[in-house]
Amino acid sequence: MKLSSEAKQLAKSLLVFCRVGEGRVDESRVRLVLEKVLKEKPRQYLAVLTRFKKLIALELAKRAVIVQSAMPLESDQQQNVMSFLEGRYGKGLTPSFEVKPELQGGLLIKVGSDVWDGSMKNRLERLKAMC
Amino acid sequence: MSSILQELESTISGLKTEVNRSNIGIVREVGDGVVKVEGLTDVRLNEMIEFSNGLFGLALNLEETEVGGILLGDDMGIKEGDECKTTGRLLQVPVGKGLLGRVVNALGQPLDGKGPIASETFYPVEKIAPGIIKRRSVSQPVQTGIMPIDAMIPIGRGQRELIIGDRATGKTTIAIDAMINQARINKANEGKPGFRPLYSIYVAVGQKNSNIARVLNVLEEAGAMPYTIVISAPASESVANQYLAPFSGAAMGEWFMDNGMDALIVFDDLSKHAVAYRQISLVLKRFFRSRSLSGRCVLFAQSFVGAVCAFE
Repeated sequence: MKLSSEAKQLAKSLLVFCRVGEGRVDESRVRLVLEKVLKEKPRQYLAVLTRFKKLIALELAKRAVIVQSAMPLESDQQQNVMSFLEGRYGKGLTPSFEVKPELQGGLLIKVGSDVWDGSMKNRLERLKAMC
Repeated sequence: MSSILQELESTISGLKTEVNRSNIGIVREVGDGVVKVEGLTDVRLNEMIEFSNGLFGLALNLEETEVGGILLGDDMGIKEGDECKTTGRLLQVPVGKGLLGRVVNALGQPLDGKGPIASETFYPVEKIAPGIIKRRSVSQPVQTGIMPIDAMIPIGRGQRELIIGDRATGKTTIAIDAMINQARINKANEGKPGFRPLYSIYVAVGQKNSNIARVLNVLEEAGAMPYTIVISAPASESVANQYLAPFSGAAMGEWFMDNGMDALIVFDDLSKHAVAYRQISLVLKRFFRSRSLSGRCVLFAQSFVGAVCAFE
């Protein structure tokens, strides 16, 4: 679908409205926007909503955290990791914890497009590259 | 022995504390030497991107939801969903005297089978041109060796000169003759005090391989290769390399300029460069100018009085 610049701008301003403190997206505001747009049906509203959905998906992806470890983490370890990440990236992160035995040890943390690789596998690979 | 142990220990302890941070993106679209990537939130303009198969790309378009870039190699090995990451480096090419007598591609990699390039210095491809204040007036001539040109329309060091003409009217021949003449003058005056040699850089963009081979033969037969760098980006190369080749040539010329030497760059030809740029721009939805204006604006701004002289 060809998207006009007006539709892009409108979708962007709707996203700005949905943002609350620290740039988080507020779910109730998203629902409100959806309701309002469907009720008023502005010009190119379908294109606007498609773009809006993409922007929201990207915003949510930015706040998504994936923590991978070789062994399952205890709840206090999970809390430690999350409090460190919230100190760095702000509140409102959506965590998910995964177990990946191939990491051999340590943690691999993905926050949006940032990747912090402190796994044993990565360290051994780096050591191998140095030799 | 103990020093080796200490070194090993310090290396291992360094590895213990260090956590690798990288910024990644996911390939959403690839084709025509152009790639679109989602993510890469920390990428900067003209930064190199590394793909999972070891191929590099260059970030050209930073958009709201994605990053558009060009691939510096074959795009067949990349597919949708592949991961890529930022490198924090700008695209650089090797520069220096080690390139003289060599044939390289747009990235400065050797194509002539004479082994690796002996160069420790690298220059960014997109270097900012020196300002107006730094420039001097043209004061020293460049002899093309063609009497009518040298007598009627002389060319100076630091000057830009267009060679315009229909097909097969001898535009390349004029440039090649000038390069051969410079090599002859360099040879004759080598070692004389106060003599500033003029090295030549021939940038072949979008030409047939046979044409480039013919030019190389002529230069070798005339003994001009020891004073010449040939950058080859033939029509069979990717558009990204055709687009980058003139910039690489300008970077190599600027090294001579920065080190008190002079260089003559021949861009043969910029209309093919414009075609490559147009192709990239159309896929990336960037603005472009018609004909070879875009290339001329940037590349001719790099030409510097008393140092780099550009031919097209």
